Amino acid sequence: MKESPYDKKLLEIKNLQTGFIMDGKLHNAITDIHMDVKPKEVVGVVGESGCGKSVLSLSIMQLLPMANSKIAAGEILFNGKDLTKLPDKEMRHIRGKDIAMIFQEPMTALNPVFTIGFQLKEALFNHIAISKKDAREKAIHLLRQVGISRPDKVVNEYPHQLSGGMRQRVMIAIAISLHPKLLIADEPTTALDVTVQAQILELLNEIQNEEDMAIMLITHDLGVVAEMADRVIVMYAGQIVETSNVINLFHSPKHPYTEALLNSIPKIDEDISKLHTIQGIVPSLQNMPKTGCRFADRCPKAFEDCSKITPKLAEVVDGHHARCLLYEQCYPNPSNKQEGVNL
Amino acid sequence: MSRQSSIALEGGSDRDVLLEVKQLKKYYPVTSGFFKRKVADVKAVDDISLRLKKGEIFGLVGESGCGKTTAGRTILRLTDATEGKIVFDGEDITRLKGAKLRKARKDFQMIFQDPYASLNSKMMVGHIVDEPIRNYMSKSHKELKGEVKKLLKRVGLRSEDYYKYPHEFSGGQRQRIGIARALALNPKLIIADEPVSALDVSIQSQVLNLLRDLQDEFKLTYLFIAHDLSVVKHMSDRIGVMYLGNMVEVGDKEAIYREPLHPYTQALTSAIPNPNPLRKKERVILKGDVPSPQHPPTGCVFHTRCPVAMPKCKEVVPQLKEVKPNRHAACLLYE
Repeated sequence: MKESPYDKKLLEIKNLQTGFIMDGKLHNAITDIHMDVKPKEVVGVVGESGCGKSVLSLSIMQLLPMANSKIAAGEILFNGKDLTKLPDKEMRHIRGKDIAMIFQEPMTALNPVFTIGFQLKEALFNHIAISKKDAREKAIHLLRQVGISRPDKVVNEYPHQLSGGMRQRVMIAIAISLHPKLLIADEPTTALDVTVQAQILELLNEIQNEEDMAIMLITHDLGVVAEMADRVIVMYAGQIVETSNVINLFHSPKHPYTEALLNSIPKIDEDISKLHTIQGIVPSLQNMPKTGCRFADRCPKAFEDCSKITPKLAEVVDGHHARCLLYEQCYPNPSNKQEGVNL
Repeated sequence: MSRQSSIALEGGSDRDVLLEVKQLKKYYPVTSGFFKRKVADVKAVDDISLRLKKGEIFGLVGESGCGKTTAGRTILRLTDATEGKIVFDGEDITRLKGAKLRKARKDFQMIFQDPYASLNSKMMVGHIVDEPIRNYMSKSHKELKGEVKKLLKRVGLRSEDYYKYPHEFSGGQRQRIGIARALALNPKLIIADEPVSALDVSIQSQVLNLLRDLQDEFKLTYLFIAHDLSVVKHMSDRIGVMYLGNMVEVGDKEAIYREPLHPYTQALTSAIPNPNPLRKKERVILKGDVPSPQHPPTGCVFHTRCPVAMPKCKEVVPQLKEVKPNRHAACLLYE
């Protein structure tokens, strides 16, 4: 495992709570999020659809629709600056330059009426003083860097002329054009075929090494996380339920949800006749249990306390945090422990 | 480009065979000009043959655009085959029409990929599920209701769900409704086209287990189409790998994963992300993208991306043939 040489934190999120306003009421999509990303680290965020992983990434980028969503509490510190309190103008300097993002759908993330070159140069013109000629050179260079075979032609082409894999390469080229310190990749390979997915993951790995950037990789695919991440955050129903380094997470998961999730995927090198399942479905935003553990209804190990006492995220083993009452550290007032460890 | 691959894939006496597909081709014409003259063909399925024994699960894998869905639809006679033969339960159904086709269709059903698009949102769940029965039999309202409720319970829904509408259900539950509908006529063959690819992991395993249980219970035969190799391996007895309209490898699932023969299968199996961080393996990373089926490469269709391509691969079309006992591959490496 790659251990980060720095103890400094590039991104630190404290007690973040983001919600959507529905029928005049605020429903929290994510609550009580504590996490950090260190420089040059790959952090995987996994969870099923509706667990709030995309809301988390959009909160960091400050890209949530203003009309019906709200960051209700918490801080997002990037290099010590709180992004939630930054005026729009300053945020625009950071967005795209210091923090870049790749989206899930390469088909829709690019604008169909502008050439690839235009969209690459747009990012450059917005953030740095550069001549038109240099910008074009740089665009071609970037396309070559992400492995596009005839970059001088592709700059003049439109998105519809490219395949899905190539479009995702273009997205990556745009994202890395200003050498960001943090790249948020929201399901970057979900829309792609396996062989193309393998190409893109390898490219992300290479670029991460070249550019020395940190990646926050958001995905539902546990296989992708296992291959890419140094550290993993597991989310369920808007909360972080477990976080640890990748090896401990996959080999000794602490939270029953993580364990069940790992058991429910068919593995290529195993043969079992019956898959483990998780009963029921994720509760919806409006029906989130007010007290108790949000996974209690579906949990095979649930006991009495689970529906009454709300667990908190605490360190259960060295560097391994979980939110589950099976560990007494996670009780709100553990009798024999002091205040839980903050992440 | 015509190929002769009329081999009997997997033995077994003819009595055991439920479905036999021989040299199936499906071309879509590309037309141009005022008179819609045909100028080219999109070779969506270009000569595939397969044989399904009764009670078997045959998995069909491949990347998007390889023709696996078209193959499934053509076998079910949802589109007409350009060439080839489909023999279902001893009867040639390739050119059946009208009442005869209608009668034959009772025995094969389909489960679709997108549980949001495959159910009519304006129909009550009970009517979605009983529609196939009403099409073929005249039964009293009460009988129908009882039967549908039993089906709903069998697929893990509640009998009250009879009166609900599709929007009241989650993706996994909708897929269960689709499964109940496919089971309604007690078919012999079910073609499941990416039945779990739209579902979350935890829901996916529920649906996969259900499909397996139903297979035991109703003695079903599945043609299981998917792009996720781990899922296909979990479900199937035998697997066929498709690339650009061609079947490149067929074999027992264990054999295919233990020792893939075709270079494409090798790349495909090595590309699956393994949820085990300690087991990082050597990857075969393919260059480029799948070529367009309108202009497939000459010779072996895979030669443009193949890591071990030889000069003759550009010219010679490899045939799917038995290269090892019960292992078929279409590659010049094994000539």
